[in-house]
Amino acid sequence: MNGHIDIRTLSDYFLNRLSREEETAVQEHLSGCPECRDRLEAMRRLRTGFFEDGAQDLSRGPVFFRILRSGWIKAAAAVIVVAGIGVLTYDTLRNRTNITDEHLIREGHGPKDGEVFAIDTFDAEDSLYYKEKYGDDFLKSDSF
Amino acid sequence: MTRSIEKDAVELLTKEDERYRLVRLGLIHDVGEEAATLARQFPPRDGEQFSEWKKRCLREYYRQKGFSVFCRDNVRNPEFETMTAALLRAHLYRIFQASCRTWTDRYLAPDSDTMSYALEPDLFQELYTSYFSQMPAFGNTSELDRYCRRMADDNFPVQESRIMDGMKNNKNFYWEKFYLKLKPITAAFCYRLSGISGDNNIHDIWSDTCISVNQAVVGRRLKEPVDAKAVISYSVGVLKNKNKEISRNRAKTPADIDLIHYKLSVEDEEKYFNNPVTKPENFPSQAGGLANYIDFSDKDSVQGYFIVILYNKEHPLHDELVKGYEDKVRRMFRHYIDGLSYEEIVAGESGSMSGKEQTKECARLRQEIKRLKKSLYDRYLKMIEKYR
Repeated sequence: MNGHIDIRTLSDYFLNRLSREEETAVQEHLSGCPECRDRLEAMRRLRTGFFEDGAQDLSRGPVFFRILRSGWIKAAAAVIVVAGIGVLTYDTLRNRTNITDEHLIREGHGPKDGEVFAIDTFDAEDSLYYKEKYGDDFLKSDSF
Repeated sequence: MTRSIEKDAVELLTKEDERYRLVRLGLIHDVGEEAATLARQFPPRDGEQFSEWKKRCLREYYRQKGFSVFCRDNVRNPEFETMTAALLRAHLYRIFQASCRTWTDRYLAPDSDTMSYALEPDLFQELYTSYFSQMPAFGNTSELDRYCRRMADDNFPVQESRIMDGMKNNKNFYWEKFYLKLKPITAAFCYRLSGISGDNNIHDIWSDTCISVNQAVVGRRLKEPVDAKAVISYSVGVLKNKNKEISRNRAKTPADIDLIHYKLSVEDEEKYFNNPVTKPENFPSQAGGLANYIDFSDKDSVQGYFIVILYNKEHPLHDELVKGYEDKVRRMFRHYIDGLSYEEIVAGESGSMSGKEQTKECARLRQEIKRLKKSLYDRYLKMIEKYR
């Protein structure tokens, strides 16, 4: 092989597309030609840099484990704790309001005539109770 | 120029590893260490030619490594199977290049592509099972390679009836190739009969034709026996009808449409294709015939071809790949190919900087290269889909 290997043949060598005989001829040339060897090495280095760095990124594992290992987990934990405290506090305050309302009712400060009281608390359990007490027609207006 | 046996040995084993995936399959762990051993154990004899030395030292090396047992142990390893498919494909490519175009290919395959010498996945599975379930003992990679060459010689070109069965069973592998074949034919007919030109303008007619032909073949609506010629003739009939429809819509009498036949004669090739608007190379799908170079099912092949396009500035697809990123690619080459660190690249481009500024600039460069890699590879994947 005279001169240098043309880029097409070198590319075919890089891509394993040459026959065994052609491959041996290229290797014999590379043995005595640092310039061609450098070009081939450049392609190999580019491949390593391009894909093996990426492979490291890919081998880092699923997102869940990466999040676990990252500093964000501490921040997320803090947010969950704060949110938890908030919910508990809100629930306690709400219960307290309900208790106050109950006292008001017992003491005769309940809703006046025509006012709808606790309509949103009428659920399936209430429905059964009224059914047992008044029969199936309890929802008809004339049954009251 | 004096030869370095160590470097030669490194090159031999690097290529063996690239071709036969020796590290990934677990035959060797470190190419450098193995090459040093090989150079030490099997130096060239006085007056021994390079090719003779290569043959001798690899034969001895693989014998020591127990290559035969290794092959037997890995015959069910998917990586070994992929490697074998790659060897077979390389042989098929060379046979295809050296052989006359089959009639099946002339009627059904795009100009630079083949169906007769293509390794359809189910066909590979059949061949692999039949040839590797009782494989001989391979002393070295050269013998394995010759075995694959024999597989290629014995079983290709694929018979037309088998390809037709694949198309009737709606195998995408064959249909994708045929659709690409239809594109320049659609362009030629549309230009000659309706004066429509351009890839975008013919796209709807082309895709409608593809769907019609697919439905007719898969739905067994063509008269048996269905061969390659029957499929292309039916396709041309569909194209003629579509062009008649266009003419009718334009309120012109489609006088000469029925007189035009699609024949694969030299004159017709000239008439339809040797024309600046319709010649196949003007259609991206026909340029380069990437399907011959890239095995889309093999990650190594797809990545390898990307590197070839990126590195080789003379490659027809290089400019399209790096367009808009030229400076960034140059910097990336300095990092990956010349081996310069981010600090050295920054110092070379911006001169002396304070420590904080330099750190910031290096971080920016690192991010730039990371993003560039993603952008280039995404663009490449789109390109190979387009040119497939």
